[in-house]
Amino acid sequence: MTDDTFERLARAYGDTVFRVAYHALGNRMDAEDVVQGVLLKLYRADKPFASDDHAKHWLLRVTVNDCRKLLRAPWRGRTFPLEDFDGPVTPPEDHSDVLSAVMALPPKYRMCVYLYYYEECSVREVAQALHAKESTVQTWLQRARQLLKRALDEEKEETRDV
Amino acid sequence: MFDPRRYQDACAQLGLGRDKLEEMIAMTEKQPRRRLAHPVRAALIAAACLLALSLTAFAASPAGQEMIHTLYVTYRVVSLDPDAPQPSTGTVTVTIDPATGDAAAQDSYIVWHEIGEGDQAVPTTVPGQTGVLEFDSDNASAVIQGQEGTRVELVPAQTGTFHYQAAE
Repeated sequence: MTDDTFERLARAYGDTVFRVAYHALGNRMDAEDVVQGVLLKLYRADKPFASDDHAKHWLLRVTVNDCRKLLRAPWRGRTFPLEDFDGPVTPPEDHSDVLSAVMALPPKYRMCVYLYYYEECSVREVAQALHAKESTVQTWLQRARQLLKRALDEEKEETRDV
Repeated sequence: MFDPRRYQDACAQLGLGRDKLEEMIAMTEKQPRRRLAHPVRAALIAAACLLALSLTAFAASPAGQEMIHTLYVTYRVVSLDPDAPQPSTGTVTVTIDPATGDAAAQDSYIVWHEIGEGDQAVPTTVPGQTGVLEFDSDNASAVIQGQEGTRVELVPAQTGTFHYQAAE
């Protein structure tokens, strides 16, 4: 891959890779590590991409795989003080409840929701990226929506009570 | 209720930031290409093979055998004549696990001695196939006391050892 192509793809999809990793891992530092690894793989990739869409889906798959590896890593359980954590780029206050609710979902649902609702991937594309059956993805989406509905309704009620 | 539009707006705010992305691109471009890594990988594989060969050769040598036995070979005494362990007379008959009859044991000259009092070692013959060690305490200055379940460690003859340790 030429340096120009790499730089163009990195700029175009760097944030996408970060968002996928952030949804999978739940914190900024790990997500940045994954982005670095994925960009390195992109830089070293010998395969030519047929289109930018092809490159994007390749990046999504590589990111999902790298996140899974990190989640399985034995040192994954490490902790660090909150003071040392610079935190995510926080969304505007009026939207943070939706994002918080999504981030509270189990990882497979989070990824599913992100790819489907933000990246606007089809169920088939989500299934390919997550190495799952299409029917499984549909089930995950349905369960995620139910969980989100419950969480957001509860939050609304709590706000009303206060 | 989950509102996809609100979620999309929230996600749109999540990003690396221009500086961070620039930093990552710069770092990535400094990484060596894969083709440069091949010679290093080949050298590492060759080194690993050499190490494996050296270890195999060492393991086959007498010194290696001694070390392996010292480190790993542990036998359990399954029975011991309860009347025998006397300071001056008697015979100690010890039945040792069948594994004791291995080649190293058959060709070895071994001694019993109390752990921590090595100078009181008692030379005796190797049990061979029977797996039975007879110890004539008339010729011994050592006091051998043991019980069923005593742990016995086999070490090659050159170092003169067939330790036995108090049961744990």
